[in-house]
Amino acid sequence: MAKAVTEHHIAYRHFYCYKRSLMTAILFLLFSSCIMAQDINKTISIKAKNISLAEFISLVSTQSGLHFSYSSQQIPVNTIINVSVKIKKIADVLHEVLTPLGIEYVLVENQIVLKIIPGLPDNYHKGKLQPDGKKKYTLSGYMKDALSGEVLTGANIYTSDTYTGTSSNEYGFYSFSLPEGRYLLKVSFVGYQTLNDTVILNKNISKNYQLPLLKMNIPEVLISAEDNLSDKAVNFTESIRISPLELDQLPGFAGDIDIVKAMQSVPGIRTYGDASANFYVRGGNRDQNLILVDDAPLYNPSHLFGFFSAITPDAIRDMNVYKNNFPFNAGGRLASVIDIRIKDGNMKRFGFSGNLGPYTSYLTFEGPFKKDVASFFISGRISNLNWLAKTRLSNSKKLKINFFDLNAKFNVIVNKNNRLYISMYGGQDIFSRNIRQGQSTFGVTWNNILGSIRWNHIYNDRLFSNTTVYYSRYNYFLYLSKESDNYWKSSVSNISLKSDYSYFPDPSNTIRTGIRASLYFMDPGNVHFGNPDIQQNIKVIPDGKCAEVSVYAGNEQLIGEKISLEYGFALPVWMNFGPTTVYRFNTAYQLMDSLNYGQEVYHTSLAFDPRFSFFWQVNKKTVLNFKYSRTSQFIQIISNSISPLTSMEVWLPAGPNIHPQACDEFSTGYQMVFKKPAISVSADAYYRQYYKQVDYKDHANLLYNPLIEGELRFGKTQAYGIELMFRRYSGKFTGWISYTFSRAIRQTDGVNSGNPYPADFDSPNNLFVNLTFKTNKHWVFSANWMYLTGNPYTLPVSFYYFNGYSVPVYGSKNNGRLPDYHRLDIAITYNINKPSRKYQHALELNLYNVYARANAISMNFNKIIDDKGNFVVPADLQGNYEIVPSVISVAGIIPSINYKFSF
Amino acid sequence: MKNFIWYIIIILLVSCEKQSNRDIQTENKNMLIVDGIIGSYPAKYEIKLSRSSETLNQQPVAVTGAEVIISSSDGVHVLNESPAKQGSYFTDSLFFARPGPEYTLYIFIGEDVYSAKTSMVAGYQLKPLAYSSGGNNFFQIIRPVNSFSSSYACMFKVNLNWSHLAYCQGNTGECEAELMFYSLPFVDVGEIFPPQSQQVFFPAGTIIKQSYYCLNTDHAAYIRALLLETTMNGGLFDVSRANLPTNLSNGAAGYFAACYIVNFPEQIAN
Repeated sequence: MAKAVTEHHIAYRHFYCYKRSLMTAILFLLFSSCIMAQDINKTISIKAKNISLAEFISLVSTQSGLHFSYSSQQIPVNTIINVSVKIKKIADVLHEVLTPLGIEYVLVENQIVLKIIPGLPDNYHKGKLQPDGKKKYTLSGYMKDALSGEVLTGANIYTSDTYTGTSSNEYGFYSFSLPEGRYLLKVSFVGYQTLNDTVILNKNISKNYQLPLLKMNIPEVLISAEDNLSDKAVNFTESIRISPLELDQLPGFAGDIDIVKAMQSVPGIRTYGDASANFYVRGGNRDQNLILVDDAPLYNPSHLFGFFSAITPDAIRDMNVYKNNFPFNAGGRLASVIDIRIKDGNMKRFGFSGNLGPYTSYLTFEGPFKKDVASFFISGRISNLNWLAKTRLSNSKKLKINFFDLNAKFNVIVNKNNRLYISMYGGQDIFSRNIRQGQSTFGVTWNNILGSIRWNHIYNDRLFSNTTVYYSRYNYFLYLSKESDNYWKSSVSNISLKSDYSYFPDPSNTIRTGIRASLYFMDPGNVHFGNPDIQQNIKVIPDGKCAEVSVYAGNEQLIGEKISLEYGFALPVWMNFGPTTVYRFNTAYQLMDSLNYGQEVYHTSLAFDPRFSFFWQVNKKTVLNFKYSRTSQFIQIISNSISPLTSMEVWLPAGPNIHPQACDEFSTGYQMVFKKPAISVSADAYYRQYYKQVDYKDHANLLYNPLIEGELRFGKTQAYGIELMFRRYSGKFTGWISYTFSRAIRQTDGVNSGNPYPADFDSPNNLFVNLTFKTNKHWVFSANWMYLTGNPYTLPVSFYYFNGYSVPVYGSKNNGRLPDYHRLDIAITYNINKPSRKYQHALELNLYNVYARANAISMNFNKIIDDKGNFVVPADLQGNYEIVPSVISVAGIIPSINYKFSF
Repeated sequence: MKNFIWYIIIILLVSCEKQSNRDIQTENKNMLIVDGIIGSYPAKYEIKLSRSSETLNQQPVAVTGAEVIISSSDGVHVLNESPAKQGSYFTDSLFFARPGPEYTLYIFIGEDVYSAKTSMVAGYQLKPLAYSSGGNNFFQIIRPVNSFSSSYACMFKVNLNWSHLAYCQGNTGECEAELMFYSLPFVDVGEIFPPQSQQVFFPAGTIIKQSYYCLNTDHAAYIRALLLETTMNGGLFDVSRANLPTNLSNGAAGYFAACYIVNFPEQIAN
């Protein structure tokens, strides 16, 4: 060190002599700082009980060779302390030991100078080191990103010795109470630098923390169970968090990072395969997943029949996946809750980002209206598929294909106790084809429109509330003739008000309660004709109009340091109201009569949904859990589609003919996290029993049918499985392997002769492997490989001819399976600028389905090969033809090059 | 560049279909299959009896020696097996059905007795299907537009015959075709987004014979199920598969129907 400083001075003296010397001087200057920093970053180990601070300083000095300088009159060198550190950086050791004593250190030349932290009360060093346990005070505030001012959900704050603490909620708010005393606190979050802070808690304190991002904007953990892998090894947590930084590293479909496809990496969540936005969680159907965008439900999460997901990846601030024990305020579905938070907008400065790709492009703009007070965020995406209109494909078929979506958000900190958010989302798909020039254009259009206004209010240090008004609407149009304005349309919408309260009486308890009231409107599909004469004579399918009121309450309770309980309930009440016509069916599902109701409640359903979680932190690295929950669901998609692609969708409410669905789940889990080597292992097992599951009679007529409810059957599903995950979260190579064994067996009277059969989405074996390799600051290589057992499929066992048609005779329902699914995706990212630059841009090459596996979505036994080699359905019924069995797949190898930028 | 983009979009959006060599487990169900319609004007109506086969493309085995009877309030009618066409049983040429009575088909095969009941709906007036030019002096039948709100269901049978044309003399291909079109009061995704269908073009001078059949509710439901399992099946939006319903008893499959039938005058395509 001394040598470095000497060289530094020599270089300085010759500053004006040679230009080269100037460079040398700068280099040495940097070098000397580096040497000091390196010394401070050296690791030491000390284990000592009841030693004085002076002895501790001596020990550090001996091990490190560093010199200390301090005033023995100011520094309480006789204070007795206990130290136990193993291979820890000197800087961290000093901070950990000195800060609680009200001492800070600075580096001056080659000395470590100790000083009293300014601003401490006079009696600080005379007070007790440990909390006195009598009076309790509350520490509360917000967790934010230091760069953008965005709130952070799930950031941890805890005392460094006892790990007592809490996590910030979805609005970034935290609160916990501790006995009077002084504490060294750690504030940590995945992908961010951990902050150390000292707090003297002799009154209620409101304090916001701003966490800086890690220098390399690349998280070390891709899918994290909210264990930030700091000193607090494992958390008691219900959700799996996927951040946008993490999403960004996954190979995407056609260059677009996809939230649904990202979820397929989570054990227990199964996607359908290529080009599908359908996903299934622990034996639940696709409509049993609740996707929330800033609290408002998103009914159809797909673009282009499922090829792309509806939310622009750039707009996502945070995404939490709940496979069970959903948040109390987010009930209403049986299988999962996907809680997506849209970015609030940068509170500090204006910025933009975007993506230019061959299939989609998007642009995001954000910034403060008033610095640290109000900000906005706006992000839009359009498909680049319009050029199809100029290709040979569309010239022959007059095909139009297009989609877009837009996210906008505004938020303002009214004062320290009030904050307001307004967020909106709109997305639309248009797919049309002209059959006869100027006469008949048919196609489909669907759109999602949703918005929410949220008001965060802090009543006091221990009571936080969020009140939200939200609206969501999903429309689906099937145009029979655009020119004639003839279409079939279905829709579902809701307008809701919910008010949630979080009360933090002490660090051991967090009480949450609230109420939600919603109105639902469902059009199960009606036909509209441009010609009023036809319109007045057509049948009308009555709308479903419903109201739901749900109250919920629960407590998260810590018992000691090792046990955590969470218990609570939701009490939803569902009401159907008129005016409407209700058809009544007998036990054979034949129409008996119909009843007309006016504007009145004609049917009410009530449910009681208790839940309970038990976490046991066996040691610092291991957590065991056991959970039970019951959930209810009152709305459902009515569709007997076996296609992975989104098609005509009808939502229907529970009512006199459709019983509310319910699910009981028992699960247990085990999680281990090791810091060195940086790996974690988790295992979960679950058993679910679903009740009143919607099933369908053979060839059910579900569209534009007033008697649609007579086409439904109701059964139960048994689902069980084991989910394993192994991951490495640090180093040049990171990644994980997840494996799920699961079954979902359904049994419905009137379907498959009442015998059990594998549900359409039953897939016993799922394997997902991710590997990310970071060579340096510029290159990142990432690869995914996934394997799924083929979907159940109903296969023929015999054939016959009827009027020229070759007709299959099927065995039992889902008696076979499609071929197994597997696929390799690769992403190569070249970050053009260094991470330290404000303007970041990157080129990303994505290869979806690298080895062009033709993963089947269906098997057919009804096609011939025509003169051009196409598989076609025979039309000439007297012709001599040979049926050729075939399989359909929807995606070959899909390359894409995207340019991404942000400022 | 255009070709490249076209290629990309093809691989992205257009499905790829390949022949499947996967074995499926089949079994010899040996089901009796009944295929018959009786009409509203005097004619020889055919009831075809066959057996299901274990494998795809296997020619159906005709059921011979059966006793076939149609019974209604109008009387009992015994059908005769055609010596020229095994498995086909014909009424006499004076037989016809009418709206109102319930018609019961009885089939006696050895010890086994099968039956089916049906009735006829009143007829209604429809226009014949039009045809359009497919280019190069060839034509194509225009599929009827489904209004989805119609209170009736019908099927069109179109016979095309161009065997008399010089065009066909040296042509080894087919010179006649039979096409079926349907107008049903249902909406199905498979109808809106059907799989690619065989294109049947016919030359100018083709003789077009058209007739339409008015279907009762059950028959329409059967036809819908038949189409879901055949012509509407195999697209990108398939629905759950299931065996066809039937009005036959005792484990037989197929359908026995009574239809109001209207024959249009012959047309010559030009």
